[in-house]
Amino acid sequence: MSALYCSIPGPVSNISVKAFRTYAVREKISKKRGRATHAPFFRASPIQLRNSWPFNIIPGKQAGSLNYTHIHYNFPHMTTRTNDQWLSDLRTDGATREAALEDLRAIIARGLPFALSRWLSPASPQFESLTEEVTQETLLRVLDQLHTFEGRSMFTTWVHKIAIRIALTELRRKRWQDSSLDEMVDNEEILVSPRILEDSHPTPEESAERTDMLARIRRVINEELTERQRRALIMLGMQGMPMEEAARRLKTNRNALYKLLHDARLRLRQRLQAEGLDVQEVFSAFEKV
Amino acid sequence: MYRKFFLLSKKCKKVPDLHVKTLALMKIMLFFKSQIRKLRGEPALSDELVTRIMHRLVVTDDEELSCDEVFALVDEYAEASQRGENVASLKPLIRHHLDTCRECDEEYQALLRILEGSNSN
Repeated sequence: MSALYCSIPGPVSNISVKAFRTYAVREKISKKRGRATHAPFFRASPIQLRNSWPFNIIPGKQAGSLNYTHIHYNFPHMTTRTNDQWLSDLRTDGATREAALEDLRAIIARGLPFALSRWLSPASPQFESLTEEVTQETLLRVLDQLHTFEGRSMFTTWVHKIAIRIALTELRRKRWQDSSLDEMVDNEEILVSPRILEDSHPTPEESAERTDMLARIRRVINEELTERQRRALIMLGMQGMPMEEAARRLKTNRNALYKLLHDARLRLRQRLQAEGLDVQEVFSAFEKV
Repeated sequence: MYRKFFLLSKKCKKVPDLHVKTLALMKIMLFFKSQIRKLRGEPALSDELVTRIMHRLVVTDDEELSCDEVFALVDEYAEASQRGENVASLKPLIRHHLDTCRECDEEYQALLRILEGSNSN
């Protein structure tokens, strides 16, 4: 192990060679585009680095077959800044700002594999382009919304929050476009317990009561809600569509759509109560059947 | 479709009661609306969908935070959660939104994973 590695500050990391290669490719691209690279040790080949600090392959597993959720990305730390330092560095012009932006870029890129681990492996071909796109977009948005940072959390957490919003919005959009929703449907939170949906052989009376209740609720939905509210409820309730996509179709945004749905639900509940139906009791009746 | 409308409007003329007339007109309106939906190719309200809507109604509160309001607070919330604070009881409105909004919860979980990742290193 050369002295060079020992001189780099930072704790020991576990990283797969595969993930390192991905990172190395990104470094190469950055270099081509004239951006600063992160550390001199990337010049060495992965084989050289395989058993040397700071790359510690998790023992008992083959490199490349590691579960990506267990990879710990920890590249040597850049200058640590307080919230105020971040703000002042990003607000000044020149080299200080450039250095801060580069550090921020690295921080975002380091966080994204954790954020996206549920949906995308760092080894997948989409990951590289998505990370690049999201990082760029996040930096622009951070600079644009710098004045809105209130300092209630760490600056980097605030930046990660923005990066996640951009990344997941993009990912959901792409997945919806590609109609490869299998994974998303698998991950989808099931709002209704399967017991309710499955046919549990109810008695004819129970079945008739349930049908009657459903017809009443259906009538209330048709009568009480506006066309827009009804459309929104159906889109999100049945088709498993991401909220961003539903919002786009209704020519609105996610926040306004949530408010629209909330208003619709309140209206429905009030109307059902006015008709002498308690929501909780109705739902319990469904559960019994 | 027009035949139905014609018959209903004829019924309206015969009935003197205003309340009944209003109900009949409402029926006509709903009928037309349903026809438009069919033409648009919109899905009908299936039993499953109605059950889902009912389930969501049960957990709907009068006062709820919107997605933007939660987005503004979620970084602070995630850090507090990371420190081991009982955020669910301290900030119940955020917790409630995260429990009921899949998109916001996914983003919160992703943020937690980043914070956990950076802490474990």
